[in-house]
Amino acid sequence: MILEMKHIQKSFGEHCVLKDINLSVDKGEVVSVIGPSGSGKSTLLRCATFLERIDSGEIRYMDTVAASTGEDGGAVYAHPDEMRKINRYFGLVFQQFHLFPHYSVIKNVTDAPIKVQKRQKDEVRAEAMELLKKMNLADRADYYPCQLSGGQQQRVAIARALALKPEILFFDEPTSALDPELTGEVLKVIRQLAEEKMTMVVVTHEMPFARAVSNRVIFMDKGVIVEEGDPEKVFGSPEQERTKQFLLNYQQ
Amino acid sequence: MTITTMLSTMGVGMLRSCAIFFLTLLFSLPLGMVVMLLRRSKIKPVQWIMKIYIAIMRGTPLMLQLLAWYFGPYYLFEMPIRGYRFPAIIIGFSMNYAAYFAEIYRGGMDSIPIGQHEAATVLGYSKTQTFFRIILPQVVKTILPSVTNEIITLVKDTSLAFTLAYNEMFSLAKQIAASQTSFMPFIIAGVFYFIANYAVAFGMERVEKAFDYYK
Amino acid sequence: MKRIITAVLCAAMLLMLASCGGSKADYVFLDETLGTETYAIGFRLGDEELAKTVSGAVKALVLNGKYAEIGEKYPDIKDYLSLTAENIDQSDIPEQGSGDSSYTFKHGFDLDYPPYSYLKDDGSVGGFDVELCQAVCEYLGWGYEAVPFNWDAKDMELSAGSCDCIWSGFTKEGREDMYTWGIAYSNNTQCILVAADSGITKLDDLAGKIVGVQTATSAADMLEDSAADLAATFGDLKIYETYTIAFNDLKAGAIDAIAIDVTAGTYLINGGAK
Repeated sequence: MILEMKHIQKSFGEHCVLKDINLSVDKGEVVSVIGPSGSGKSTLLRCATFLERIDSGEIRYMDTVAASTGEDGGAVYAHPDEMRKINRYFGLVFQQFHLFPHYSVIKNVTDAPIKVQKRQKDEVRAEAMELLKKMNLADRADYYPCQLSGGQQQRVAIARALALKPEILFFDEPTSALDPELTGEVLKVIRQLAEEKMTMVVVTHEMPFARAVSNRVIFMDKGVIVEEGDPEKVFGSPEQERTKQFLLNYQQ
Repeated sequence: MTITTMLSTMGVGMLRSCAIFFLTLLFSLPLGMVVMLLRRSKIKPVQWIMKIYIAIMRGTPLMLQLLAWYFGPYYLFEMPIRGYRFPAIIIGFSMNYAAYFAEIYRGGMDSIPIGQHEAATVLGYSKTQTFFRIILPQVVKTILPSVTNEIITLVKDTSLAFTLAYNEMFSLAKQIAASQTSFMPFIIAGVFYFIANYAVAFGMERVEKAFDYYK
Repeated sequence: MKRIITAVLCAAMLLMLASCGGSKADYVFLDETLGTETYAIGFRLGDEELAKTVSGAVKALVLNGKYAEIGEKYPDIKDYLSLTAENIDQSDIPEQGSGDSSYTFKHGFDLDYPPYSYLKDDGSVGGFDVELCQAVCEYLGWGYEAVPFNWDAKDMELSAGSCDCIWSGFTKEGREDMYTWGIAYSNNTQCILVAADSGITKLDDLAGKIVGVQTATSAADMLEDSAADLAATFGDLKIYETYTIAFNDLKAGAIDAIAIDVTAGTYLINGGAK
């Protein structure tokens, strides 16, 4: 088990965004999270990557406890040193890429492994070039993000996340900020990673993609997991009324 | 008095003006950074103190502040202030400009999308690394034009040091103009300020160019 | 809340500066002086006719007692007013009301040179020179216009024509050739002001000491010219924008003496405009 989230509760003020969410991801699994906007999908990812604090519940990575419910009922996070270790287990690709504009493509990819993980420069650079080649961006290594298209930038962001060799990679609507003609190149890369058995959780609106690539689909609405299961089952013959409605709306 | 004597007399003043200029920059640029970070501190009282400090520095004339820095120790604590003139000028200028720089830095920090912080956090950068490697270089690029403006203002503000009887270039110009009934010293002063500010603008333009490699 | 604290702190800062008053017993003039000078009315070079008319009117005011009457209002300087009915030549005195009533005389003066010319607490202009000039205009039947300026800019103001004269405790010595001079109406002595307990009793004691002076004043000019040898013995000569700051420095002990004319000095010791 790479990631395990149990009984996750999260509110913004009065508004309850996540209600008793349970999610576990096995090695090599590709999980798609779908649902209407405001359903809590993105918040779930942000809680899993510690960009938001959970109110209560438990988060484990590789059997290490990152957060658990304390005696007073609130969430208790592990010691910062422990959190730094846990931080290495995952990577996150943002909807808006968030590349570092002042770094070249290659530096975006290599800076964290060198400065954070303190790895050998040459080795990191060689690996980064391999990654860029895989992303079909080898000739863009010395470009700056502002010189690239959205699709290219998102592929650099994926390479940047992969360079830290995470056990699991999260995608937060990776194609939503892209022009329609550019989504294909990003989805192709994610598909390729799925074939290589990279463990991934993808929040997406690309239904055909989710159906084709994932091992498991989760449908969320109003802060709860409404339906979860095999993609063929969830897309083909959904059990829940809300799921049916959502998918119907989408087909129109 | 020939122009050569005027120039050599005023030359001494120019050196003094330059001393104020460079020392003020040397202290106020980093101090502004500290003020900005304290201003963004999570501890409320620290935030308030910094807000009040900035409000006073920006809300009162620099001339008044110079007087307060210089005479303050004497009138408040009966401390001897002999020989304290130049330090008081540098303290006054630095504290004043630090407040302005702090606000410029703050604007620069606010202009950096929150996503940059988040991306750095997820990639495992520590807070210090995030600030110095990711945020600061971008802040510097965005604030350069405002900083240039402030530096140009500083060049001209150096003449306020005369408030504390520090004979920088412009006060010497006024004295020579009065005793010689000549407009020449003012022309020399104008040329000096213009050249100094042209040098500042030129230098800062080069720095801005150096940051032009990305948008 | 923030604004209140700011306001309080600013008020404290201002109070601190305002507390810079002084008590007269603590400061004295040295008996030895730097020299004496005369105050006269400066006109543009070539304005002989105007200078003659104005000077004549001043003489008329001396004769009819108005000059002494105004002087009574300024006890700090009345001892230095030099004109009397006995010592003036009674030539070229114009008739009362003989001036062109459509003419307005523009009186140029330093706004901050009490008691000769200054801004009063209520915002209006006042001072011996202002009142005397107003009396001259009244006598001649002219209109009066006050042209207060920054002292540094006096020559530009005069040559640009924004004023017709410089009449503001204006020292004639050393400037004889630069203006057409009207009548000299007051004497002034340049003195050294020290703290009574400073141990400085004569000019020689100033050797190695720090002396302050206001920029572009006669005292400053004297220390550059006729008293340059004395100035060379000073430890340092500090040139101030205003005597007020110099006086604060003297009180704080940052300087040892101030070179100043006796009227302005008396005015400082007495704590400013009443």
